[in-house]
Parts: sequence; structure tokens; C-alpha cells
Amino acid sequence: MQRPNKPSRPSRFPKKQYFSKKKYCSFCKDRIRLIDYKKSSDLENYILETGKILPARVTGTCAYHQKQLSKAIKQARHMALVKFIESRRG
Amino acid sequence: MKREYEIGLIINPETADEEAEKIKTSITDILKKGKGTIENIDEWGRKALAYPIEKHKEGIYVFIKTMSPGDVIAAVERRLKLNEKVMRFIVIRIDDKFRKTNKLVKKWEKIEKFSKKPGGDSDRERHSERHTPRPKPVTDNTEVKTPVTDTKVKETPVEKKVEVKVEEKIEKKIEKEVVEKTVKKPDVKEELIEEKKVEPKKEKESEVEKETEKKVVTKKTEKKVVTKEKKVEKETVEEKTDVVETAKEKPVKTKKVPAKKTTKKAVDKTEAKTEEEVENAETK
Repeated sequence: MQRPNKPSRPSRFPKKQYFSKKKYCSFCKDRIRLIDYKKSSDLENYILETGKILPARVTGTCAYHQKQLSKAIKQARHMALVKFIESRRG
Repeated sequence: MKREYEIGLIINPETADEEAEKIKTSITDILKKGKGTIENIDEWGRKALAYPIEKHKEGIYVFIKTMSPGDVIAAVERRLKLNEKVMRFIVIRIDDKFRKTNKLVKKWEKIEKFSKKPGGDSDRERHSERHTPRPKPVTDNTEVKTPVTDTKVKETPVEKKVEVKVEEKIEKKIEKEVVEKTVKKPDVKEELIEEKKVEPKKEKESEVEKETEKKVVTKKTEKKVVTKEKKVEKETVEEKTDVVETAKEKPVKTKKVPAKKTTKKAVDKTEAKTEEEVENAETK
């Protein structure tokens, strides 16, 4: 007796599918060769509120620019253009 | 060896503007003595700091861009360390790799060549680049692109000429066809009109009726048949015209001749003889 092929049962707990826009390196898009530490407004997009540098895995920057960016943020911190840590009250 | 450097300073805000300028000029003098060139000086003035330095919430920002040897920069650094009015300073070397063509820049140039828009999504372009068959060396691409424009420029006149020739041929063909199919009808009509003028008044009406009947018949039949029939019509009409002309001439002669004879003979000879002679003349 050949059993008819059972249709594949839908799994009880289906995988959650998250859709998100494809990340891309904004520095590559703007064709920026060297990231300037003086433009603190651009750097602040890659810093958390606490002052931490966001990883490339989150922002989508390429490795070439992430290296420069981390360096530029550190230089800007030294020149008091970007904060080190969120200033606490009191 | 000269290299590009950028020196940044934060001067104590309590210092007067004149003193701040002195610090700036002192640095530039050192650079100029060491065969360095000053490319750009940015003065932001007093600006709020992100965090307090030496219990100051403001600072005077100055940035100097130079092309100078490394020894001079070291001397400047020494001088800045000793200066108490400079709260912070930073010296950055801008590598040559950022001024010359780079691996990344080459990639961008490649993308710009393939992409139609100057500033598009680089990722999407790269994605499309991956799936398209890998092109031969870049020179080929440029060559492929340029001839397209050249051919557009060059081919257009040639095509136009060819088109003009073709159009002339087509026009000629069309004219021939038109002459065969459509233009024949007016020709026939014109001939008919000419014939009508030539023909006597009595025979006009009958012939016109016949011709109209023929036209109606021809319009219903197929085109090829129409052309053939028209040719036939032309021939027939011509024959008819000849016949008509002959018919015209003969009766006129017959009418005239006996009249003259009768008049002459009636005067000269008797009535009986005249009748016999007239009959003979008619038969002749």
C-alpha cells in the first residue's frame, strides 16, 4: 500500500520574518574619501546617546569607512566636539 | 619630504583675541621658516565645548592646514605643549592615499560608468554589476559607449539618405499603383468628356447611359477585372468613336450629294430620269 504523499504541514510556530530596508554605507553613497572629525553633526549619527560608537553591523557602513569613522570620533572627542559619556545630572 | 598636516587648537576663552592671534601667527611663522606652506586657516571663534575642559565651557577653535616637512611639525608640537593658553591641540597627518586614486575611488568610478545617474544607490548598482556578465577591460566599455554616440551622429545622415531614396522609390511605386488603380477612372472620364464634346448631340444621351451602366458594373467587380475591363472599354470606346466618326461622315455625304444632284438634274433633265440617276448615284 502506497500512502499518498501528505502535504507538508505548516509548522505550528512559523519563523518570524522581519523585513527591513537594505543597509548601505552612506559615506560610499556620498563618495566621501576621508571622514573629517570636524563635522561633528555627521558623526553624531553613529553615536549612541550614551556616547558609544555604533557598530557597522547596525549602521551598515563598510569596513573602510568604519575604520575611519571610529578614528574620527575619537579625534573629535579629544577636541571636545563630541561627548565621551552622557553627562549625568548633578 | 612635505606632507599634508592639519593642526587643531583650542585656546583658553579667557585670553583676549589679540593674544589668540599671536599664538596663531607664531605657529604660522615656524611653519613658513621650515619651508612649509599654509593652505587654509579655519577660525571658528568661541564655541561651546561638548564637555568642560579645565572648568571652561567655551573654547576658541583654530584649524590650520599646511604642507610642510615632519621636522617642523614636531617643533610646532613642542611649542604648543609648553604654551599654557592652549588647552588642547591635535595634529593629524592626511595620508597621500587620500589624495591619490584609491581602490575605493576606482570602484566608484567603475560604478559611475555603469550607472546612468551620477548619484545613485551604490549597493543596487553593485548588485546589478554582479549579475551582469563581467565586462571586458574598461577600455572596451568606453569604446563601446563612444561609438554608440558616434554612430548616432554618423548614421543619421546616411539613414536619412537611404530613407529618402526609399521614400522616392516608394512614392514612385505608389504613383504607379495609383495610376493603375485609382487615377484611371478620372482619365476615362476625361476621355469620355472629350468624346462627348466630339460626339453629335443626338447620340450623346444613349452613349452616356451605356457608359454609366458600364461604370456601375466595373465598380462592383474586382480591381484586376476593373483594369482589364477599362482597357477593353478604352478600346471599345475608341472603336466606337471611329465608327461614330465614319457614321457621321457617310450620311453627311450621302445627304449632300443627292441634294446637289437633284437640284442640278432637276433643272437640266426630266423627273423620271433624275430619279433613276439618283438611285444609281446612291448605290455607287
